[in-house]
Amino acid sequence: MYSQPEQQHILDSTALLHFKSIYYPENLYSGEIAVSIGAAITIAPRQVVRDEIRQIPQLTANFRLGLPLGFGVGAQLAGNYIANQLSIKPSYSYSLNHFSFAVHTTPSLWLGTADFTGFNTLGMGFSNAVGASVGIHFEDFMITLSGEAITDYWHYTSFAVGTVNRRLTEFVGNAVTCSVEQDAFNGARINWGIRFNYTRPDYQLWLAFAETRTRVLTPEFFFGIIL
Amino acid sequence: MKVLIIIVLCMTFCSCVDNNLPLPIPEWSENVDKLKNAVPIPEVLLHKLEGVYRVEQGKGLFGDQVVLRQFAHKITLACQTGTYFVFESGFVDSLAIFQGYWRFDLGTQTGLAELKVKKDFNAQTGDTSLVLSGSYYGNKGINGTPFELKFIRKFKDTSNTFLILDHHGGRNEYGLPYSENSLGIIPIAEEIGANGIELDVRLTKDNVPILFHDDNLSTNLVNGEFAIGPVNNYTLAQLRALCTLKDGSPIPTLQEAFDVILSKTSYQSLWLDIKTPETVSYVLPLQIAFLKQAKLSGRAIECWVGLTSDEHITNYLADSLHTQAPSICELDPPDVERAGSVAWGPRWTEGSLTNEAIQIRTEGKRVIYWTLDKAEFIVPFINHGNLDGILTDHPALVSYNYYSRN
Amino acid sequence: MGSLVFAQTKDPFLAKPFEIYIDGGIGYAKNISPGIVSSASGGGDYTNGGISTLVRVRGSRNRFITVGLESGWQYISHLEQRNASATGFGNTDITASLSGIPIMGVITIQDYHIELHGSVGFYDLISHSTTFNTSVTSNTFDMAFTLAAGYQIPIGNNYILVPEFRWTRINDLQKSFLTLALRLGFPPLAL
Repeated sequence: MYSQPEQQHILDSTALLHFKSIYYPENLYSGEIAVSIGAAITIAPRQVVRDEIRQIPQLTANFRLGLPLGFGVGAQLAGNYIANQLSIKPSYSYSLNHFSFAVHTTPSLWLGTADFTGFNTLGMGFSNAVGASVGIHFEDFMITLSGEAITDYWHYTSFAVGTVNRRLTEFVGNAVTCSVEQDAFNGARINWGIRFNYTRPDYQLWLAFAETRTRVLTPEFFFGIIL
Repeated sequence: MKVLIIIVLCMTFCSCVDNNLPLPIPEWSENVDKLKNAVPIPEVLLHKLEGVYRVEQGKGLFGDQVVLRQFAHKITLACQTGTYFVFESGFVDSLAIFQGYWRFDLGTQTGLAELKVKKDFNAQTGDTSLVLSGSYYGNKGINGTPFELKFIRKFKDTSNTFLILDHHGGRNEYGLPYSENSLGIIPIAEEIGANGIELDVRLTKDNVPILFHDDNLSTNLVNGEFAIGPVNNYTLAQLRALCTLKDGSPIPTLQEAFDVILSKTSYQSLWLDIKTPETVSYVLPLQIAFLKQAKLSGRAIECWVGLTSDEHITNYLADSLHTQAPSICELDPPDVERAGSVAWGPRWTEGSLTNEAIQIRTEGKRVIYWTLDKAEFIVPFINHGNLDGILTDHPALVSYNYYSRN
Repeated sequence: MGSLVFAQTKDPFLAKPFEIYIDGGIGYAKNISPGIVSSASGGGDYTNGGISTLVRVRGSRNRFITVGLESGWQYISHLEQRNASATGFGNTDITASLSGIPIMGVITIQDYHIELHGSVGFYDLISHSTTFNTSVTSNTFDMAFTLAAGYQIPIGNNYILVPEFRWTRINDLQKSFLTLALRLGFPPLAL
């Protein structure tokens, strides 16, 4: 058991520390920048890809910039050559003690290319995910739960000389993300989590050219180190 | 409390989902079956209905126009949207009556449908007075929606030589009436527009060629929880004891599939997709016997063994039977030459490969692209013209896009 | 709040050696998925669910949030069937069992002696079947998710006893289980 001074010291230092975060809704200080690098892998649903596609992890880089009045903007670059994505995420957040909330929209441009045996194919598309997040901050842990509704705006696919444009605006499904940001080692901060996409086969599976109209569950695991 | 209820509902939902169960073909009940005492319509007469029709009423799920094709005593409507109808036919008094079902090929919507036309029909280009009218019904089949088709024109190509090869009967997740790679699905694929079929072949532990797509047994393809892991861990007898396909039928052997193809279909082509190189030498004797039996019964059918890797080609050429066993090579044109294949099966995602396709065709070999499933990709391939066929999960969609060309 | 206070270890003033906590448990898992097809012909003496054991390793028992790993062994099902039909091969007796070894990452939230766990990972499913007097052992990996809740009962000397209620979903196998288990938490292991 700790002595009274020790407990007072602990209580003082328990006052929520400010950490640079990528996912936790609480805004960064105005002008403050957070950067993380890491990797993500999507588990391809078997009913879409059978045993024909092995998912390759994507390298990810996340950026976040704090703006005044609770606003902020984030960006993500994710890529593995076959499927690559650039997302911009403007947000507005509000914090109350251990809790923080945000609303955000994430327009994303994706580009994929496959020029190995059996493929001479390039695909690209544009989508947007509108959503809200709620986060809880205890000690060095920040847990964030996000829900998003995803709309596809256009797709473009070319296979050698043939090109197909599809400009459909359609709601394609939802995503729920649970992320954790925490201390790791030597004062470093890490983030990790899982994103459940319940959508038409998402852009990372574009090479499957799945035309199923039903939504499928594609979990995505991610991990990063906050620099 | 609400949160608790939502969590319990989610857990229950997650506990119930199985997307791969078959979706049975809707059937007319006996008291409304108008065809039970009907006079069969001769095939040659039914053939006169073939052509492109405009949808006058009931566009919704079916698009603006449909392609009507005859198959034996049935007619099939292939729609712009991937939906298809299959009708039985018969004369009742002064009318030709068609009763059957419709199905949305990319989802699980299905229902009954019926059409009628005056007995003395004859679709001729320029004659727009030919109208088929009737109704289609939803899954419950209570209130019909009016459905009317007006003839526009005959097909540009009436030869039926363009190969529409069904990709092992479709994929279970599309709600097929029978499982993919099952004996039940083989004749069904022909009804919806295919004139050939591709089947996946792999070996059991006791080296029996069976129809099965994946390396591993899983709930996507089989029922039977003790059958897991690689297919070739099990003998055929063990597989037959431990599991069935999703429609409840046993995993079929290649020989059983050959028997169904000869006895229940009129397919022109059969593509055997050999999943592992070691399977090749077990398939060749069966393939040769099948071709001999087909010839004896006066049946014109091609049967190709699929060569998908260098190892496949090596095993194929090493087998002395290969000279009697036609093959389709999925690799590059030089490999087609090396294997002495009669057909080339390029993957569509490489593009049309026009020069190579022209060269192969000038050598008298076939060019068949696989596996094209979306209208926006199917149309450019049909339009470029240097092909003999398309392998697809949706033969009705290819049928529509090929035969509706003006 | 107490546990939050005592959990603070960031400050060098209170720095402690790195510790891990190991819990071991045993329980009974009941399958709640409908429509299970046991064999080609169905029927037989079919047991669905059974003993479930669990080993959980985590960073702390006192902090509000901890992460860790869990594994164990779960008896999933068993079938004894006489004269089962095997199309084309006549009848055979079937003896088959299915078990799983979970390999999961777990996140735990705990306060006021209540623990909430969420885990995700894989099950190594192992099937052992005997038909036509020949046995086959085969395995496959299958993604799985778990949600669990438990209540800590201190039993002295840093031991705790935790009755735990767990829901497990094994994805491709399409099975869900409800498990009632009793877990014993051992004193921390200093590294």
